[in-house]
Amino acid sequence: MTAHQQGLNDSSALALHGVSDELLGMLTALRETPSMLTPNDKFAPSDMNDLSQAIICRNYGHSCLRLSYLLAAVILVANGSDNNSKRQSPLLQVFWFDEMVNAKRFREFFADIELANLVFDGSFLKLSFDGEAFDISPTQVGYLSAFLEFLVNIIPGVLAKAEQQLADSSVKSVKQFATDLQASLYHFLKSHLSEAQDMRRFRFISTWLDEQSAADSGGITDGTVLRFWQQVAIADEDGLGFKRFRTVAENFSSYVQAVAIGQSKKALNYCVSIGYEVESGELSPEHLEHIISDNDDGLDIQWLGGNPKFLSKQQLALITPILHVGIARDKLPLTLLRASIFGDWQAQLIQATRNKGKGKNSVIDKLQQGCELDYQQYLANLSKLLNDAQKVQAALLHIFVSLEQGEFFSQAAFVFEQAVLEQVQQQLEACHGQIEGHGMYELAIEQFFKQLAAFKLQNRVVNEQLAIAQKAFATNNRVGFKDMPLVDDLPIYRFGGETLAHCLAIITSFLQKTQPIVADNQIGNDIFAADLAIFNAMFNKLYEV
Amino acid sequence: MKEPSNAKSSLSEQVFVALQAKKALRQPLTNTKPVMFADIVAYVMGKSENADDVHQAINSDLSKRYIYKEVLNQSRFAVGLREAHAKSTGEIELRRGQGFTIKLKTSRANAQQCYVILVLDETLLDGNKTSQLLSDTDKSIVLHICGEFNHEHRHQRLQFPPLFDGKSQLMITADDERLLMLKDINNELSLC
Repeated sequence: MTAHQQGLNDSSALALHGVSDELLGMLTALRETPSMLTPNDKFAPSDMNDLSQAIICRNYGHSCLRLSYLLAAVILVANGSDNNSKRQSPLLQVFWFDEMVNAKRFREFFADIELANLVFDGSFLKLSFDGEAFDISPTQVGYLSAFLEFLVNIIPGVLAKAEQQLADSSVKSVKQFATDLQASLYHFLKSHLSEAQDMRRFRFISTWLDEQSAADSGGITDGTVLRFWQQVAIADEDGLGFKRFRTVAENFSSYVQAVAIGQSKKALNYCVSIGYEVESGELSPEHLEHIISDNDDGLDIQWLGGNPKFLSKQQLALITPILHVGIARDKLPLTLLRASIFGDWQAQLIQATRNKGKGKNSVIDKLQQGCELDYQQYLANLSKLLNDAQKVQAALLHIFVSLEQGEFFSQAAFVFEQAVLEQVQQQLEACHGQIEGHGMYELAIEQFFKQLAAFKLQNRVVNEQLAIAQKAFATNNRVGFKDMPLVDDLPIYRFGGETLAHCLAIITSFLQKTQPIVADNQIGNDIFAADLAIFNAMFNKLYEV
Repeated sequence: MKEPSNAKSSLSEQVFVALQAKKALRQPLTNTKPVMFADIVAYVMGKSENADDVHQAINSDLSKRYIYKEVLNQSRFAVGLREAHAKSTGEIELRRGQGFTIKLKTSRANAQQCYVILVLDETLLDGNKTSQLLSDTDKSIVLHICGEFNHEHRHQRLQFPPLFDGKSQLMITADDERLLMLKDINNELSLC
């Protein structure tokens, strides 16, 4: 696949990002609406394509106005004629019972009608309300009636509203009705499409990547993100927020994810074959698995800082960005580092520029102070956090073993080395065997704790490990760990242990990715020095010192 | 069953199966057609192909019921409101609406069957729009019966063959819910 094809592919995958299943289902159902007069579908496929495009790209402003004029015209004609009983809604009659969905029926309906403010001359329906002229072409009616069909499904009572509001055939009421339609549509799409601003940012990134694709075809890397920021931040006039490096990093990571999810949606819809021939367009199963599992990664961990307190506020702040970036964590590790370290610095700078009282000096001060940490210090902080969190896990283990709970065994899996874990499991099996008739595991667990003292005497390693766990609990002075909790309160401890283990696994893999890149050697130091120079220069330009 | 030839193909199989399952889970949202406005219009006019789905949707979904009532209000040509009088004994055999009458007659041959006879009044047939509507010999008449039972919305529809001489009739079984609803004077009748 060429870079250009890849770009097109990404762009169409992007179109599917954030479109709710309900909206897609509705569009499909509209497409298949049966006609009451003919055996075919009610709407022409081309009209439905236009409609889907208009809705998904939020390009419906002018359609609302055209539709309002058309409805006003229909109401005007229907109210003028006698053969329509007042009880029946003219719009229902015209668009549903008579199915005015193509140019032919439009011509039939408006033929021979000449009113003071409405004339059909064969090629255009010419309206003039309050002296303002508006023309409607018969060829538009297919699209507009499909649009109306879409609207009646999402705005309750819209037909009755139209008949009330548009009856006076004035420009003011037509425009007001069009505005109301837009507002209702906007409200509806809020929960069925991704935010327009997000979409604009994604489109911007996508276009920029397309322009770059000639130069590099290796996909998005840390370098791409940095280059993007360097080029775009200076020229960011659109207010897309690309001045902040952190915003850029977050957007790229969502972009990577959005494209991946869009592609997997497309793959589902069009049955892309799954396999290893990436060149011929197949999706590799690992990739899919990755997307699907990472999709649910919006893990809420803030409660870990509550009661009981598994992590401190600072620790949570340190790991939250890493947990929230999904697949970008593996693809863009350096970007994540940069966003953490230089992002903090930039935040301080922005704060200083807003602080007008102190003037430029405070900005200069902040610039000269530089950033607080370098990469190795940051990673060292993360490693330290891993260590501390491991102690919390050990303290949890002590709680479970003291209260003789079965959770001990699952918690042991997070704390013990594999070899030690196996010994514990063997002991449990042995206890299980001692129960007559191989009874339930609850009994085996009870038996295990009865024999634990003896088991510890026989097994020095387990004894040591449990002593460490006891010490970890004794030295932990945080809320929830000062005293032994009640058995009834244990579920949150168990859940905390599991969540913590999940977080730690992610951070460990992140450390494994990044540590080799910025290791404590010449290359690692060079990378930081180079980044520091780049960011320093950019900040100088951005904040005009 | 054949063993998978290598680890890779077994993983791709697993992912394929997982994706199929995921797709199946989402099916009700995407592939089962939701009941749309046009379906309800067709249902009211007696032309619906997926009548059961629409019936279900109107009973269970408030917004669909709103559309149903709105469409029904705007497309019926005659209405028989709830009857206020109390009839203490015997079965209802006659319902009168504005411009039409419905007679219920138990079949002489089989007590389990009942004729429902629709008779349109002269006055209704003289009306400009309706007479034009009714002179169409292919047009079948749809009777909608709406009401409440235990505070829950209920509705049924009966589709009559095209009118002949201002009359039409059909036969339903005595325990049919539509017949029971017709006999309940608290239910409103609409002709479309």
